[in-house]
Amino acid sequence: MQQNATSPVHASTADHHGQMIGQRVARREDARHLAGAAAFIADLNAPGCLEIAFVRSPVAHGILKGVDIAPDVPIDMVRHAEHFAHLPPIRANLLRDGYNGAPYPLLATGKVRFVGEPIALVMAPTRAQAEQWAEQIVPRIEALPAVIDARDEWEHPTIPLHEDLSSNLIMRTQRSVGEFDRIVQEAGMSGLQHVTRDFKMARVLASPLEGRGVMALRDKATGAIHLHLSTQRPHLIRSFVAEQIPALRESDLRVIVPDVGGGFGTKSNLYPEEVLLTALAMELDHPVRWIEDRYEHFVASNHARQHDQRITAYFDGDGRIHAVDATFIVDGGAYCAKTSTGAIEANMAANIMLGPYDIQHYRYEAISLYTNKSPMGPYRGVGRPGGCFAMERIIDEVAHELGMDPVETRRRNLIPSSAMPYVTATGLHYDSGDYLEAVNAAEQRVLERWNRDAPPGRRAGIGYAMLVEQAGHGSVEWFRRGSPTVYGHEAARATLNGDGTLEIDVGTLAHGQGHATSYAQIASELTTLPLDAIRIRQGDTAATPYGMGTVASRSLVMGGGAVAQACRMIVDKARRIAAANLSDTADALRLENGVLHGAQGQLTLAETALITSVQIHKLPKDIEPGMSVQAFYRPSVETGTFSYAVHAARVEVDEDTGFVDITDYLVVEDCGTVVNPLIVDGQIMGGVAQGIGQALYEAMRYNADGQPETVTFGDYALPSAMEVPRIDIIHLHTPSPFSVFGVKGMGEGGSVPPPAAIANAVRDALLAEDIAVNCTPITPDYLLDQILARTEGQ
Amino acid sequence: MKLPYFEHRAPDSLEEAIATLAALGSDVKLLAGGQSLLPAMRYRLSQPSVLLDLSRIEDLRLKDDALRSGRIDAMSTHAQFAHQNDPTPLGRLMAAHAQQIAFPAVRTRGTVGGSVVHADPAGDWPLLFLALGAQVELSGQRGTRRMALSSFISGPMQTDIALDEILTAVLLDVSALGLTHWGRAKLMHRAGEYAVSSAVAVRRAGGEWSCWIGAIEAGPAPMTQCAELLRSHSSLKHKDMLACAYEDVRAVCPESGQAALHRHAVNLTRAIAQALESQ
Repeated sequence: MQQNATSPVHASTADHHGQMIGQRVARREDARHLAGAAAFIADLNAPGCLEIAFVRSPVAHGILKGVDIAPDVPIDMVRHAEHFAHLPPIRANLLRDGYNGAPYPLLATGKVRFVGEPIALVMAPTRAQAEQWAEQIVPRIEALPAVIDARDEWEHPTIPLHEDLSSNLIMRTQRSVGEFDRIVQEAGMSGLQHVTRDFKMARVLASPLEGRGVMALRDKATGAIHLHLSTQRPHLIRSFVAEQIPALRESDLRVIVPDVGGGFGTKSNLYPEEVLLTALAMELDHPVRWIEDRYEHFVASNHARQHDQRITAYFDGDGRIHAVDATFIVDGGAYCAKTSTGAIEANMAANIMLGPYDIQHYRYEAISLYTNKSPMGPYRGVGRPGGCFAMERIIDEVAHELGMDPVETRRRNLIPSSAMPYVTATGLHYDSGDYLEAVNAAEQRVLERWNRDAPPGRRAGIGYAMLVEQAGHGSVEWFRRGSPTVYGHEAARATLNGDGTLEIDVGTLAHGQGHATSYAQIASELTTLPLDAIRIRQGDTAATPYGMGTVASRSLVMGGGAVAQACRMIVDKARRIAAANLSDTADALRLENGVLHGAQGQLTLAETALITSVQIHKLPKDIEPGMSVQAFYRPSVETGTFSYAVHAARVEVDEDTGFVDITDYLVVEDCGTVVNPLIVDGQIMGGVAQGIGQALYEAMRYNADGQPETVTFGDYALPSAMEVPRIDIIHLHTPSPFSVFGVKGMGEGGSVPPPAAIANAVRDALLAEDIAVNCTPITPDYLLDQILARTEGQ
Repeated sequence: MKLPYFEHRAPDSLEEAIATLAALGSDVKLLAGGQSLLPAMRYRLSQPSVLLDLSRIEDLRLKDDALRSGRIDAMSTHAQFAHQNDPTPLGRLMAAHAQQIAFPAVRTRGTVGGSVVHADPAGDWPLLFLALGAQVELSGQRGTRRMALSSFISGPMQTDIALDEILTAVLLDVSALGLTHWGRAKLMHRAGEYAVSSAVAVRRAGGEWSCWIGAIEAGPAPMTQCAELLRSHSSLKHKDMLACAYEDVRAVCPESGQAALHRHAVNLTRAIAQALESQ
């Protein structure tokens, strides 16, 4: 167990261990969700609330000449850009050379740059009325040609979408690491072969059950603005909103987050709607609310992925890869969203691509471009699915070139556990892991349970993909990326009450991750109090310490670390109080079931809390009154934890229809010490389901004019329970040396390898005909067209 | 988006519904389950000022003897057919067909009449009833008329229904009621989706074969050469059946790409194979 440098706790052999960490505790938050008794933004009751509808651009790119408002729309209920002229546009920064940010207007001025861009807003007592008026406000737009293909734009630049930029390039980074140039130059002489593939991954979006939502009002009692928000980062968004509104100070803004119905990254960026509603609440005497509907989610929430890649691997006859060359072109959409942009998507893919493989010679180019589509943002994995797809597909191609088993090819390239900790070619500090053990475990399970037999007309295939998941990274990594917001800590405040209940306020924001359970398990482990005596609170900037929210698979490492630290401080204080009252030494006391036992007598934790509040005469003078502590956790090693996984998929392809069925799915994963296996398994299953969506079904498609063609779930296909097979999970446990309890972040990993594993399985099934599987989603037409072309050629 | 404003009327009797329809004309849309209409209204593709809800009209609900009388009342739901266990070939065909329509929630509300009048080229009921040679019954203030479903559906999402008419029933004749063989095949990229390809093959009481495919642009189409091949040959090789299916399919969707053609042809042969196995 890692002791933190800033932690004031002292080690105690008397603490009990192994009670709660690792228990499959059912999630405490589920009951109210299952009963339909949760409270989302749309459930909040606010008398006199005005509901907002936005007038959004129906055109992908054009000059906005004005709007025509029908006579029966009350003009005082309409606001357009001029009304908010005092508010600056959103600017996302990246402190790296060559980054070309562009202002993201709150409401369009002068130009529109994507279908769905907000132009004006309308207020009404009901949403239906607001929509009816919004329909009668017609923007006058002179259409311009739309930029819709990032590779085309890169190869043949057109007119910049943003006036103050000289091109549509958001960012281009390139690097040659190790002896890449020499190896490639000498490849012929040294007998290296190479294989090159072009891969494409479609634009997708997170599709949480609950879309975004905002309700803002002025609290009459305090004069402060209360911003009720469906977000993943309450404190940061408060800072960002206050930055956007000159007349608003952070202390006059309180962000309150009720239940959040999923986020997956899509609710972490700052959005124009959040700023606009706050500004409206400042000027109006009414609460205002905007609930994103599904059409709006398709066009007005951030999209993700959309990669166009060219990947080359240089390898020898034994399947050892000597060097990799990778170009990633990312379609970044019309604006850079704050804080995660298309540039981050491309850079991250290049940065993590090499995964579990010991490859030190690497050249990459990461390119992101502006196009006339919805802005790119984070979605479970950010860049990792793209990087993973590139590496895991190309290693299978290496194997196929050599006629070698793809599993064996992987084995020959893995970083050995003896090399841990290991620094990758791109500078990631892997903390621990035994990748070979994971590959062997996966292969063994597959050999035991799966085969390649299929009924007539169908072809079976098995594919693998691996992932190393950087998570819970601290300031070193965020600073290195050029993020103006340098994450590096998390906070928790623990308060022990006189009745023995423990309240813990955290700065993270669970939106489906089950922190009310997993954090409570950590607290119970350290305090020995029962779970039902522990309440976890989050999502209110007036009640919880400043934290960075729940993104980047960081919460259990960072938030869990802060909870542990706060609980240790509470227990430490209780020991000192008990020692003084029981005439014992603090270290000699035995803590069990919330009671401190000494040689002479005992004192409950509740009694020590009473002593600090209403029995002060029993409190030694050198101990501060009060039983509330605030812990700020900052890991001593700040490069992050690295979970890893091997995914394997078995598919059957119908030769006559091109349909792919996933019949079996296996995940072997190691996220160090597991606090709650039920929650970890749930995270993996949900992630795999999303990965299956990207592999086979999901694509946000646009026509040549930049019109989105997939704005309903009828056209944008998500996998249902019928398309997701049972997922077999094997856990390995290599604790991180750099985190409390040895936990590793794992929230995003499930969704990362499935596109690669499934593509490799389909490739395997159709290998005899050499059918290419180079894009996602792998559509029936993509496969069947190739199959029929092969048959005709025969 | 929210539904636009509309007036909701739910008469108890067919007469009242017909009178209301006659009085209001083009302002009215009939609500017969609403599984396609309501989403279209949310997207403002349809903006009727009155929705005339047929769900309270007893006369339009499914009767117990429907599969013997051949009268399928318009407000019969998909779920009612999915859950019935009539042992006749027709009963089993109807159950199998209904069980693959969308999801339970849609099956519970969606109706046979609504589906037929909607005439979606990929709709499930139009395809089946065309293969069964059904008629439709239309009622209005000017009286009641019957016509063949194949004439009633005039194109994709188009029918011959008049503004003042209500489709009150789908009618099956004795050759359909007594069908001896049936097969059906529906390809869906995901469970519950509209079909990518859909086919029905039946042999009616008189021995005639009827093969149809749906989910093509122009709407369901008869596969006449296949039907003829089945009539004239007692045993058929798969290769010949597939070649014939290709001919039929190519004739009705000449614009389709190779992959789509192949899928329709293969899917049709799967329906036919199932029908032949039921011998």
